[in-house]
Amino acid sequence: MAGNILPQREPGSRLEILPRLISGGWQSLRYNPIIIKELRYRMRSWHGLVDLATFSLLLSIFGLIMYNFYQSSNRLYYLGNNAYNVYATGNQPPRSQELGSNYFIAIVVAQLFLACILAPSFSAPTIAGEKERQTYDVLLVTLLRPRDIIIGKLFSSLAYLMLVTIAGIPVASVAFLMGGLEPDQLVAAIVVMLVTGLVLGSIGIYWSSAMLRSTAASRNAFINILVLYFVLPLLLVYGLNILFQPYGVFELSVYAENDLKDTLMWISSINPMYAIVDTNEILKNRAGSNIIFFGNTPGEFLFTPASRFLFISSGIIIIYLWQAIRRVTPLRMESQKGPEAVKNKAGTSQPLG
Amino acid sequence: METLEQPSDSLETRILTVETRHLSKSYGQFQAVQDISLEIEPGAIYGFIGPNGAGKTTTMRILATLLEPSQGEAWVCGLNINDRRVDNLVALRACIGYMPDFIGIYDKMTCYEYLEFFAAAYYIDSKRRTGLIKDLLQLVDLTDKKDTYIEGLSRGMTQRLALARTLIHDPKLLILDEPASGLDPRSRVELRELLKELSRMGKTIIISSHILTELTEMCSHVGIIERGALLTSGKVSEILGKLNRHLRVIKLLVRPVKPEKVSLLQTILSSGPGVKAARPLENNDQAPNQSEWELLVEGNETELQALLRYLVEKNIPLFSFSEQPTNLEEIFLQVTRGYVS
Repeated sequence: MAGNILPQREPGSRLEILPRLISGGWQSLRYNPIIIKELRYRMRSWHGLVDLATFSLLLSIFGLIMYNFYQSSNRLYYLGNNAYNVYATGNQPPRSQELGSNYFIAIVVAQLFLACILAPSFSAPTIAGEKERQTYDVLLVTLLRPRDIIIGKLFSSLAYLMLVTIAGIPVASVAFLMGGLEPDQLVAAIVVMLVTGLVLGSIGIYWSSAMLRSTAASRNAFINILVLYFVLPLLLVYGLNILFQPYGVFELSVYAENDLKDTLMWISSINPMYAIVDTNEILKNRAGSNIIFFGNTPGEFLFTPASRFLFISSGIIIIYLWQAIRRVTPLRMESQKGPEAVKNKAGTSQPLG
Repeated sequence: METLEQPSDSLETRILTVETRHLSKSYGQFQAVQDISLEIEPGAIYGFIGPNGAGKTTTMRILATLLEPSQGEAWVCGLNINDRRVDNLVALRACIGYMPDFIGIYDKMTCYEYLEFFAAAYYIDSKRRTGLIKDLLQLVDLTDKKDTYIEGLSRGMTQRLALARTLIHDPKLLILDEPASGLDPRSRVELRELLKELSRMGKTIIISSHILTELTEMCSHVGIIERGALLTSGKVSEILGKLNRHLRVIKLLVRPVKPEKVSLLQTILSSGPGVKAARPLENNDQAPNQSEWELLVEGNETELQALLRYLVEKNIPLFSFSEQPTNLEEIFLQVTRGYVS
């Protein structure tokens, strides 16, 4: 009997004290051959180059437009009866810095939007592609666990998404020339982009595991992202506004109105673009705010949209990845079956004679 | 006397490589596999024969842990396939090398990288991989294609590479689903020789095909399946013995007789024990002093012995008495009813 030849954790290692999930995920990443295989394939084919070039080109064009737009619209501003040129006078540096901050956020939003469009094409064909090439069965009978397959596929597609995002840094870094970018804003942008990548990747991987064809998986993933990030928040916010507007269907007290605003913020925070724009506004306008909490007094203790986005996204990632793992499991493990099934199967191992 | 160096095969042979009991698989109302019970000994080359849609692939996928049986149990290398504990599944998959009927390949990947990927997927130590892959490529005669992209290989080479992949973790059991389909005659012969070599190395092989001639020369055991049911299973010779009405073809080489005595010879041959028909074959120009006859004989080894004795007693000028190799096609046609699911 071959026994368990999977890599085992060293006894007494520090991983023993970490939660099982994290250590399992680390093991899956550390010994995962799928990541190298997928990246090798992606970088050797012309698709990788074309995708990267398209993304960079679109972002550069958008960056150029935004830079010109901000520069021309904000060159002159009026205070009382006087017109000031922000670059010429030199005594209004905060205004110039605001341009840098706005430009950076615009680029981040553009990157997020492009990621929403491109991500399904990175992650959705991964498992469905194995089915199309008829290599799926061969992959399943190896010692790789469904968790390894899913993590390998997810991180290989994310690695490429990250590469595309990094390629956009030169365009975003124009903002540093203008200044005005707080470390908080930078951290919020990076975290939201990373987590958005994870959400998009998880959705793509789920549909990839559920569908037999790459095209169907990409289409469904795209529709799923569209509904989740745009249609659902818009419909919910619009519907709640209609229901609870002044003299609307329901009358609300002041407290209930605050609760409604909070609910609307939670719903809107599903969308990473809203989360990053609104968080940026809060960070700019409220002294002493930070990316996790904001408030001028201890009593006003509210999460920023970026933090809410992270909470919601964590749930979405867990649900989609869990479902994807279930779908690539040809034979369900005991732990995934009901107690009755486990009871029935117990003691069936026997030596043959 | 048993020694540690050379363990007796008594322990080894007691454990069957594959055993199934009342294995069934249904998809809704459709019964893909029904009540299959079979046993495969270690080192056997088991030919799984049946028409398209008979249930061969379904059975093989169940044994390869890719499908859950609806009913019944199966053991591979002594491990129960219904036992879903992670340790058991890992041990099972370490025992099995599975090659599906369609060989999917990865684009933009060399033969070496392909095998290295699967070596990593079976958690083979990275220090061992280079030597192992070199040996495997040598075994399947692809050493000079090591750095070639897989999409540039011929069909036969791709099959051989897939076989190397199947062997990467040194499994005890190879499950090969129609490995020779789509191959040219030369590639088929090469594949057959390779499988024989693997059998000599001690691997148990389950091979499915609906082209029976390609299995004739290599299988020690066969199982015939039709409409999801196993009609017969066992050693080829035993199955032949079971088939009472099995007709054997005997080829005789005799000294030529005068033309007026040919009919007398035919009468004598036709009167032999178990002989159903006797006919002269066309004369061989390269051996003018011999003439060939073909006898259709019903019966087993005992009847053949009696027939030989009869021919000697009748003073037939016999040079050679040989049974023609048994054709699996013949067995298959006798056992099956010609249903196609």
